Amino acid sequence: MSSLGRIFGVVRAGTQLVGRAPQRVFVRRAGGGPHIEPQYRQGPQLTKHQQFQAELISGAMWFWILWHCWHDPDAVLGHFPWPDASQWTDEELGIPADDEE
Amino acid sequence: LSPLCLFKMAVQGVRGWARALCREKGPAAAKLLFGARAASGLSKDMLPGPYPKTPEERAAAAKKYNMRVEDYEPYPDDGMGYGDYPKLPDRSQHERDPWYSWDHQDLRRNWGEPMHWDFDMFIRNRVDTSPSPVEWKTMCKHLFGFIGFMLFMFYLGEKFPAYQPVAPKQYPYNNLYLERGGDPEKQPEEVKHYEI
Amino acid sequence: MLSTPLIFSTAFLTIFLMLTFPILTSLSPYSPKKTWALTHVKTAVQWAFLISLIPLTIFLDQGVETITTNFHWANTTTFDINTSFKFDHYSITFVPVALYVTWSILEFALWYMHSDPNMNRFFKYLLLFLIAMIILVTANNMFQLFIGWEGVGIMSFLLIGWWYGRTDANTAALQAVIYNRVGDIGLILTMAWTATNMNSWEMQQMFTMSKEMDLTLPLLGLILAATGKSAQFGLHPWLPSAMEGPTPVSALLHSSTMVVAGIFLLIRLHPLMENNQTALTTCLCLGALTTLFTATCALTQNDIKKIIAFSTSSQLGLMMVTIGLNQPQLALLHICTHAFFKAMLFLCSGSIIHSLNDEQDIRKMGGLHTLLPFTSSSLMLGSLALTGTPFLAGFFSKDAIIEALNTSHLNAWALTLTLLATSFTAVYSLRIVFFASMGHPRFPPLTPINENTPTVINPIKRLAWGSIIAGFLITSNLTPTKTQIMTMPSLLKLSALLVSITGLLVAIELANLTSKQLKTTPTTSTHNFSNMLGYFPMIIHRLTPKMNLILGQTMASQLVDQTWFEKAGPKGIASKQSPMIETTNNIQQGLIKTYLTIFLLTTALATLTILII
Repeated sequence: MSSLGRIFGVVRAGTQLVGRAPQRVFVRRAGGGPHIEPQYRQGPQLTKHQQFQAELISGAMWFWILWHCWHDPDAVLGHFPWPDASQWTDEELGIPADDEE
Repeated sequence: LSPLCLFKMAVQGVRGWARALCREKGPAAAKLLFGARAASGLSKDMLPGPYPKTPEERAAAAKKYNMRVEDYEPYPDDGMGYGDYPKLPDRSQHERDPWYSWDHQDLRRNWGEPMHWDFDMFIRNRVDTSPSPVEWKTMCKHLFGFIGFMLFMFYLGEKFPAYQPVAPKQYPYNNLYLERGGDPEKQPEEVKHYEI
Repeated sequence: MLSTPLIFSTAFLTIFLMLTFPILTSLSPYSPKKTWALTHVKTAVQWAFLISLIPLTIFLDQGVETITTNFHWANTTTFDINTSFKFDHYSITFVPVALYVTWSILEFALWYMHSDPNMNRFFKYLLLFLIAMIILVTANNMFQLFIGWEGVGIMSFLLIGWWYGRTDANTAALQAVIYNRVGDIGLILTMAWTATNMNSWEMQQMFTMSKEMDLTLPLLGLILAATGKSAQFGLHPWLPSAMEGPTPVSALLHSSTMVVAGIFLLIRLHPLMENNQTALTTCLCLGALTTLFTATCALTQNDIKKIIAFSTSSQLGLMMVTIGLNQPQLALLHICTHAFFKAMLFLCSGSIIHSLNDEQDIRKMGGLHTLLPFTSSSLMLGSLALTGTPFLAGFFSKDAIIEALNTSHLNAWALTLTLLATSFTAVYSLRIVFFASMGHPRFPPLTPINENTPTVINPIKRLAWGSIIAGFLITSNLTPTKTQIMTMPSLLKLSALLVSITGLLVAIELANLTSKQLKTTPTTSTHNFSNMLGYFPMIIHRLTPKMNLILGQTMASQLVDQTWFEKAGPKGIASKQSPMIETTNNIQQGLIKTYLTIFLLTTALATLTILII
């Protein structure tokens, strides 16, 4: 729990940093993006954007999987049932009854 | 041209060749043929000396190769032309300490150090004899055993293929009537799947 | 639609021009600016991708395919080499995928390689590689294909050895080039055979000519070629070694594009193969063996890139199995979907490696789920797609392949191995996720963890979306050329999923056991086999060169008499010449009779010879 709290704190600090001083924190490097200092024995400061993207992609994946599972389960379970030849009746096969002449 | 003819011609050719070789004058030719070293080979001081027989000779040979007498061990004198060349352990350069400051860093070799007879084989990106956690024999057994087992199983798999049957199997001779222990006296019942 | 072939050719020509333009600018005597890679290379690939969508759209709309022969390149009276391009559904589908993946990887490389002093050259190599790949894919002529084939080979050599200061990188590059040369023997053999017996290198002519021929030998040559290029069992050790190269190289060459060239060759020349049972069975068994063997190796590796490399090799084995099943289109489908998630897995590993200060060992990662949220989400997504989770990219190809396997009449052992390898996929995928994302951090306390760069997030994001929807898009838009079996018992239908789930459960169970040690001395025999790559590289890399070198050395320097060589060779020839020289010399004495005699003699001889012949 405490670790969670710490992470939350760091996240909050990160977001505060992001929100507070754009000129200082958003130093554009060659790679672009906000500049984040390496941390000693701490998680890195995460930006909101980064977390949002992570959630978005995972969410999209699960949405995609579940949505298709709901609407298109055939792709997983098989489109057509396997015909069991022993269950076929003479009627279906068009075979007349034995006593019929 | 028959093969015999060809053979005769070949013999003739070789004989002429030999004559041409020997035409040079007397002893000089013999010396040239048998005594002289080839110009394409190594020079005399690059070749190993004669096989050391006495302890003194051994000491001299060891000194020549910058080795201690205790470490010096020549190849057996079995006519392969090793002479007094020291027989070094079959260890590749890759095994040597990468952090030591070698005179030749990339060869991992010091100046004046005796070279293995097959040194070119043991340089770092050729044969690597570094010790492995598993013994060499065990490794060979496992790998070749694995490959052999796989090949055998592929052979078996080829004999007994897997497939999805769509109908029960049908056999000749009234569905193997006799082979399934039917009564040979009685005619098997005709099975009709159709009606006209 | 008369204009359609014209549009196709124009579009592809434009792609080639766009990709060549940055190469041409790099020929200028002034060294390019630092931003050349961004402004020229990435933009070119991006636009090439967008343009390649035009033929794709037309193809999807109208199903048009075309072969364009541009000009005669080198011709004799009986044998022509043309430059001719084939825009059929294989190339039209694969080119956009390759360009899309390359575009993302180039963007990622901008970040990954930004401190490299030779970044522009790196991008030039990648671009040259891409051009060679597109030549290979669109070629309709064996010679043209060969150019692409060798092009990707040599670029792979240069890129694996990019950090040439390291012996390991050099050795890996050498391995790649040597193993590929072994494969090339097969390709050249087949080309020579085709030229001799079919008198053509144009593919459609080869297909028509080959109807009545026994093609086993050239097909085995082709399979050898594919074995070398696509790292099938026997010629596979170069692929894991190639991980010595920079990560973008691994992502581009050794997962998504170059290594599938071998499979692509077999897909391309599949009409030659489809009636030859020997070749098909060889492909099937080779593929099955590869997919199991490399999956086994992947199980216990600790280097994150090596695991992904082995999984690539395993997937290549699966593609080979598909070729053996006579289903080239499914193999292409798997190539396309695999390109997305495998490239993405590599980019994720690159991001992790960079963030942890060049640490590749998964035992020293952990807890990245909260620290690199986007990367680990994508890593998870990639692993799921690789495992064949329903409706992600990998599912559509992998499931179809396993279904085709289950319903075909085939070698039972090959089927068993493939299913086993499929469950192993789940195991090593989970292992990466378990060690990298889950648990507690096990890396040094001061690490520059940061994925907050558009050049990291955007490429991964692009590939992640691809990994989600690509399979669905491709399968629902392409008409299969071969009839698929749609009805089967549900056990067979679900088998791919079932074995994967079994693998996953076993892996979770094992992962939970790792915190305890049950025996004082663990049984390590199987672990060693898997961890030391089945002992294959060790034994083969020691035995073969040792045998050859010892034999060569002894023969050259000890077993033959060099004096005799010299006598028979140069000196013998000299002494044979000298009497003739003397005779000729002595004849030249100004006697007209001698000259006349010689003249008559030679004339008589010449006439005689002509008469006899």
